[in-house]
Amino acid sequence: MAAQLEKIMDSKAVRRSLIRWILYMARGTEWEGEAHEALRRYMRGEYAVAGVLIRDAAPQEADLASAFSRIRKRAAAGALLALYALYLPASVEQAGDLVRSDG
Amino acid sequence: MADPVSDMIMKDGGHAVEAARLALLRKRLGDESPVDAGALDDSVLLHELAVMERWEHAFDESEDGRGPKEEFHRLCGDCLEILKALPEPEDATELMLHRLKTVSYAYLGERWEEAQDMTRGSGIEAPGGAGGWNARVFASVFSAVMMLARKGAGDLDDASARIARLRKEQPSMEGPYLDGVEARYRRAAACELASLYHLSRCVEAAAEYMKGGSPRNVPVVLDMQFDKAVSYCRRSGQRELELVERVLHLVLKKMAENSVWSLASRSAHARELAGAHRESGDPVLELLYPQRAAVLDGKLLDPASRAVVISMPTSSGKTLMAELRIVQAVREDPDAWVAYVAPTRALVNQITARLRRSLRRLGIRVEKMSGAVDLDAFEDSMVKARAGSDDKFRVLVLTPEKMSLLIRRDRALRESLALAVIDEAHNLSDRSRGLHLEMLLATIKSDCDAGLLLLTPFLPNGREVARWLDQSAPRLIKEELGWTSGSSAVGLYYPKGEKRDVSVHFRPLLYTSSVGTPPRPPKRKEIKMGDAPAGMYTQGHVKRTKYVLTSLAAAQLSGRGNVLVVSKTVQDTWKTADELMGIMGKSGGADERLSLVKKFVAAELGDAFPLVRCLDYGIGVHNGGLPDEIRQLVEWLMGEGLLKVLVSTTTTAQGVDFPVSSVLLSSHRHPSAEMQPHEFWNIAGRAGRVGQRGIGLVGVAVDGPDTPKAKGAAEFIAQKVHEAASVLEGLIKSSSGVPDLRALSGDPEWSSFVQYVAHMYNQAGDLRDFASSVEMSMRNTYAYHRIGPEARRELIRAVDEYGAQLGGREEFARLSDMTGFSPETVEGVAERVSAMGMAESDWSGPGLFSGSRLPELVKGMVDCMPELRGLSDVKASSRPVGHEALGRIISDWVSGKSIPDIALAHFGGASVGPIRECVSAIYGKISQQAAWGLSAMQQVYAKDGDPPASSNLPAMVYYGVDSDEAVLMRMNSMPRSIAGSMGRAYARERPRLYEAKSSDVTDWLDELSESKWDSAIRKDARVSGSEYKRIWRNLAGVD
Repeated sequence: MAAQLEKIMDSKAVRRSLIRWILYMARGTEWEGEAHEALRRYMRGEYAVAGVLIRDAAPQEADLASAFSRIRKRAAAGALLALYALYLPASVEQAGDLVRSDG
Repeated sequence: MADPVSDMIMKDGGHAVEAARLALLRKRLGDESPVDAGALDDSVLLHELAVMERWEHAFDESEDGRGPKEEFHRLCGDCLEILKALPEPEDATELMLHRLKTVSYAYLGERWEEAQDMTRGSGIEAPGGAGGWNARVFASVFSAVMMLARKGAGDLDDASARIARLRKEQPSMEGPYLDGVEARYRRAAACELASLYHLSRCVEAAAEYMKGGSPRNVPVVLDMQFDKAVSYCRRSGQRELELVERVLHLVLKKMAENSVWSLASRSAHARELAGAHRESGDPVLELLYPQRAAVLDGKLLDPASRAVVISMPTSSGKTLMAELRIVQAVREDPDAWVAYVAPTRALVNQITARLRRSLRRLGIRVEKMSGAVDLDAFEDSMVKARAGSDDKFRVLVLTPEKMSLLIRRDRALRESLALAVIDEAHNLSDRSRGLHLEMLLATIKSDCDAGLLLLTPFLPNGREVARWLDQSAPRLIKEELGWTSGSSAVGLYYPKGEKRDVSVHFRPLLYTSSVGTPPRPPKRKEIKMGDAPAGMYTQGHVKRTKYVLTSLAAAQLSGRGNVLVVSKTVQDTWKTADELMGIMGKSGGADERLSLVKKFVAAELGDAFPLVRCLDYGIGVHNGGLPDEIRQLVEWLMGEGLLKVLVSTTTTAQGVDFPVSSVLLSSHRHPSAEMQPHEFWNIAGRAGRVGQRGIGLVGVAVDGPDTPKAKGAAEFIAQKVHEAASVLEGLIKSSSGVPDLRALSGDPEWSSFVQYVAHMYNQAGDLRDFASSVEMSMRNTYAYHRIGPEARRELIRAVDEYGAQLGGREEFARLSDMTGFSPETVEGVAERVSAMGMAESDWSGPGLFSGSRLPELVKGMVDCMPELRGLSDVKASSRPVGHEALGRIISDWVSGKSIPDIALAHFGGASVGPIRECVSAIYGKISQQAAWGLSAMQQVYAKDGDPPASSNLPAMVYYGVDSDEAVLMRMNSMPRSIAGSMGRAYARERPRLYEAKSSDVTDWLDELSESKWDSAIRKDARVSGSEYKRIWRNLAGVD
């Protein structure tokens, strides 16, 4: 996760790609307006970097703490950095299928 | 724009696009400092999102040119500009995605030439080294897409082959690759591969369709394969690839839709033409945006419409549209012919070569007529042979002057004319040639039941012109500001500095840019082009001397793409070329094509001729004082990218057609008048069509950034293109009415109108019928449609009065039609010829040129033919040449003496100055005007009888040779220096010269072995037979 977040923070091209994809996915959905609002804020420099760690192991604070200590110095001054962890009751390999099937 | 993303773009006010252009311009001018990517990054994101919002409009059928489709085009064009300015990613995969997007936006933004430019050279191959199987598949797809965009020779085959190779390798490569992927990512990797396989199927289907029109349901195939590609991509989690695939879906669908096969399924003529182009090795794989629109909306081929005006920029494919209309016209009537009227001799040659290449395979015979005003014996024979022949010409390419003469003289041709294509029709408002063109169109309108197709890059009032030509169903196909094939910065260049420390600077005033947007004025910014060589010039000298300033600017730009320099006069072109040689170094390792042309110029015009030396420096010169063939070869060198700088006059620059990176105008004036905005934009439109990531540059020389001259030039650039006015209308207005036409008939400005009236008189047959048809004749003129009721009555009155004076002088009216001179001029010539007591034997052949009669005839031309005023302007050592000397020059010219010999004998020496003067005099004035005058005198002498013994005498003057067979060779593009010997070789094998068709002569020469070429030329010739053959093949358009 830390490496991915570093990439997002370092590369405008990566952020650009991500935002385009999000806006594309938002087309025609109920959250399209929110996506546009988020874009507007991003263009003003108001954005947060959020990382979501998905694991299928027992929860432990150290999972996020090590990532946080690695990337905190790179976070832009004043930008919100938020890290989340989701601990699944099933294996990570099944996570995609569970999400897609509304499971 | 109305969506939130577009609002954000609007708030930026176009600054990002302007910043991108400025960055490209800096790079163009050699400034390699890094671009401020931050602002551009944000902007490209917004533009890409805005494009995404409009994907569904990519294939809209727009009505007014201002709908969402045009908005989509414009946004794609803006995306392209910003992406071009951004630094390219270093990672190989990201770089390929970036380039795929850039090419896609160029293509979707109707900037097809930029898409092609980006795929030239190394742009086609995937960057980076070997990777896994997935990387190999993606790299192959990348290269194949680039090839589809480039569409060079063999590209489509190569694209298909690359995909086929992947299919072959898949069984052995796929398993090991997936086995090597970590288990938890294996599923995503397999999905990525599946997505790429489907993408490659799309590319293959598009390539196959563009090659041969199969599979016919290609849009359905593409939709299906792309749906699968995107679906697998989503599962693989490759976000950027998914978005690029979606853009590529649009690109490949558009390619298929633009393919000539898509159109061929709807038009039999298009199918026929597409097949002919494919067989000729010059396949039309794709129709440009304007071409497709013109055919699909039915305007071009509407049988109900008599007049179609196509107003589109240079390089938008007008000639192909004309070809389509020509095929339609000749297929509808097996006896009919089509006239293709081009304004210059050089264009006549170019168009003939092109039409022959594409129409020959359809059995459509294309012939051309020389640039001489009169018809020579071969041309006369060709026209006469048309009746009853199974192998008649179907298309004739000729100048407006020749066309006028032809249709006035020959009733059968008038009646069988099916279509007249008028190229460069904006010349309608040209001061020197506009009236002639207007009268030609009026004559066609009046005498022929023919369609008219007018081609022009700019004609703001095209609809008005179309309505003049066809009131009931006028058709205008117009894409002026709405379509451009590239972008350029247009501005001023000027010197700065002090004493001997001089630099040249450029200030952009506007950018020509994307679809649907008028040029946008940039913020005022100045960019340094470079420094003058240390200590070489003073600031004051550069400021005062525009050719020096222009030479400095051209030398700076020449390292980054070829430059077209436009000078005001012939003399200025040579001065600029001289100066450039002093600044630029010689080109190292000359290309053999360059060496060949250099050798040829030296053989034709002498070693001292300055162009010989210029070519060593990669500098070409192109002006009206050069022989046609040398101008054509210089254009060829420029088109092949072998010249760094081409220096041309404003007049000849309008006729040349090749892409250049930069255009520099040392003046925005002609020698005697301000340049018209359409002329400026016609020349400026050539810039910016070269360079992978560049931007074109168009500059006008001024003496400083804030001087009155700079202000004047800026105002000139900002001017809108004027509507095409009628020259006749202008003459009427400037004369405060219509003066006595008989008194004005000798005035070259009015001569064309007077001849038109005389022709109408001939058509009417007698004064009474003429009087009843005057109003109808005048209604056929463009002027009549534009002037008020009072001026109309005045015009009819003046023409009535003039007609009354023609009563009893019908012979001169008839001879006016035969010669292209006004009845009054012909009358004066008749008196002179009669007074001279010319006998049949005087016209007995080339002996005329060595006898005592020639100076008398020349004097007659100078005294009695005001239309030939150029003869009076011929100068040697800056002093006018008298008729005796003119006669001697003509005599030496016809006898085959070399240019250096003629210069030595008549122009004061064989050094640079006299040779330049000699070449300008002969090619710019004498050959054309003396030939025309002589022809008229012959006609007047013969009156009702047959032409005198040799009616090729004028052609001998025109071509500078002394035999019929040499004239035949010259007509078929043979250089003057070997026309006599090659003609004799031809005549030995085929003595029936007058039965020769131009295409037969061409075939004979092309099939003649090089050794026979060698043996036909002099042993001491400096150019070998094989070299001459190569030159000739190029001039004749056989290559």
